[in-house]
Amino acid sequence: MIMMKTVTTTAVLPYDRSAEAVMRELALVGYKYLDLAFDTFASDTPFYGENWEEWARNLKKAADECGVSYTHSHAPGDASNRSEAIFRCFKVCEILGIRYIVVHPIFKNSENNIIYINKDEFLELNVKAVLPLVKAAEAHGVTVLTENLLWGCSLYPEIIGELVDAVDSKSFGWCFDTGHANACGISIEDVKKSSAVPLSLHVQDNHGLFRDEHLLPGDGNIDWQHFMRLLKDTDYKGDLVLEAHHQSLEAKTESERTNILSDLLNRAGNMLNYYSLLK
Amino acid sequence: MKRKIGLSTIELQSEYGDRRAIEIAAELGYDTIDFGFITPKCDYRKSDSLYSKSDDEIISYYTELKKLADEKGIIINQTHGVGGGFVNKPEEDAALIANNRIDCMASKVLGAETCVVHNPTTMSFTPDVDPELMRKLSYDMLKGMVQNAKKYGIKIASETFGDAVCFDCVDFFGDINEFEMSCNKIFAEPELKDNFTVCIDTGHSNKAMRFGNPKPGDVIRRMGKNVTVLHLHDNDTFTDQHKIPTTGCIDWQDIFSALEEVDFDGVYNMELNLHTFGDNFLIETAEFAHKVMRKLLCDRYGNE
Repeated sequence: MIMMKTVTTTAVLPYDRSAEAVMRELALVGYKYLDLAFDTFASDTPFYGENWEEWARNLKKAADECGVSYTHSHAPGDASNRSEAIFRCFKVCEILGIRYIVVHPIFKNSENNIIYINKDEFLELNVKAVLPLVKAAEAHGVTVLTENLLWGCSLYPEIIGELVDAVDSKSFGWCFDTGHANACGISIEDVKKSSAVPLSLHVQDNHGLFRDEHLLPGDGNIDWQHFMRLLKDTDYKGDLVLEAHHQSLEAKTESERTNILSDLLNRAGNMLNYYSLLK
Repeated sequence: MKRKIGLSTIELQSEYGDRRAIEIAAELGYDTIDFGFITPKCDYRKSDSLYSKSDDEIISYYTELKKLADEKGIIINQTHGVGGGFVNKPEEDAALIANNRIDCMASKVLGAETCVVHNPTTMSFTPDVDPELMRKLSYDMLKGMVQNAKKYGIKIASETFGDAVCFDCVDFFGDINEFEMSCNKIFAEPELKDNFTVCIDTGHSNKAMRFGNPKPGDVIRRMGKNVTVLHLHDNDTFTDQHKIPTTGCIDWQDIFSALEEVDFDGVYNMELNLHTFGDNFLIETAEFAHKVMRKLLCDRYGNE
């Protein structure tokens, strides 16, 4: 039986800390599996430096010593990103043993002029943008995941499913973000509208009406038991990837932050327990 | 940066329904929509209206419209709130605020940043209506509506007025001094200012000019950087014709100059009478208006 694991994004801790420091802090709280948030790295971090491969190997070594595994990751930018960084991410994923990298889909026609593209344009543009990334990631044993966002056609699991079908690669899938769906009035049940079963989740809560709050599950208005039942009904085989960073980042003291992260881990544990009891 | 052109779709909605109106605007090449909340559909007091249903049902209805707009690649950037302003009848006025709450909620669901509303109008009273009463009604109304907007994270835009047609006098808030004062009272409230903005209605301001008020371009200059929303249309200063820009007597180059001076970077939204050329020409009129506005913008700013 495949066991669902609890994974947290590393974005739950302030972004000025080193990746290794974040890993060690999360290990102390009790997290064993991490989602490396490349998108939180500042331009002066070792990832963007000359010795980035050495940095990645050292991070892997430190993680092994702490009994922590990196399993997921999040790329900077969106599928149109052709910077060296995006390709560097794939190599770092290989070094760290990360299987999945989330890359946001393109949903508008330019950076500075937000005009949403229609469904046909969305599919055409994203297929074209994603294919070279998938090919590059595949060479490193990494699967690229697109994600339901908060704008334009990117909101809808059924359209995301069409994108997955159109790319048609075993190294491409999608990640269902519970908070993005709920914020946009998309029912969490709509995860079933996608022709493709998600390969990963971003688990986070909010109060709807376009408030992308990234709260701990249970602190917004998502019915989490209902969601876990829905997951059971689908053929989901991935992990419970937490992207609930708002409260820990807002914490005023280190002890408050640790308590929030511990609470988050407990809540995830309860969700997994509930899931395991479902028939 | 390509400037965005928008259309107020209330007439298309009345003629073709909400869904088809969105489709038509997208098919005609508009970038954005000013979506209208139409009475009686948007009055919770009417038992068969959409607004009489639960919030969940209302959200569900507008979520489907948002999905359609997204699939068509068109942005609903602004909405037009229900009804006129306060009429100094407590029950009516309370109902307006209650309906406005639903307008704000629906605006949020549709992805609109702003809901445009009308101040109280002289036409609900008499030409010699008590100024203090009008000022109080305006403040109470805008305050209530801005509080609704704040709850849903959007903005209320107060729209410039013209004449009180039935009395052949300037509307109380067609007087630029009164309009500016009514806005400044809201901007002065720290709790309210961030959820409030100004909509310049060029046609209304053009009519107010007959009574000694500034030309529309100067109304824009007067309201300055608070101008974030537009109702662009033209007329002959005598009637509220809502004609396509350049078919009336407004100096459109002065409008564009004024918008540049206040660093306007929003949508060039037109609020047109699509029946101008007859009831069978709504779509053609909207199509031509888009071409006119795009040409005006291209002539001024180049082929963006």
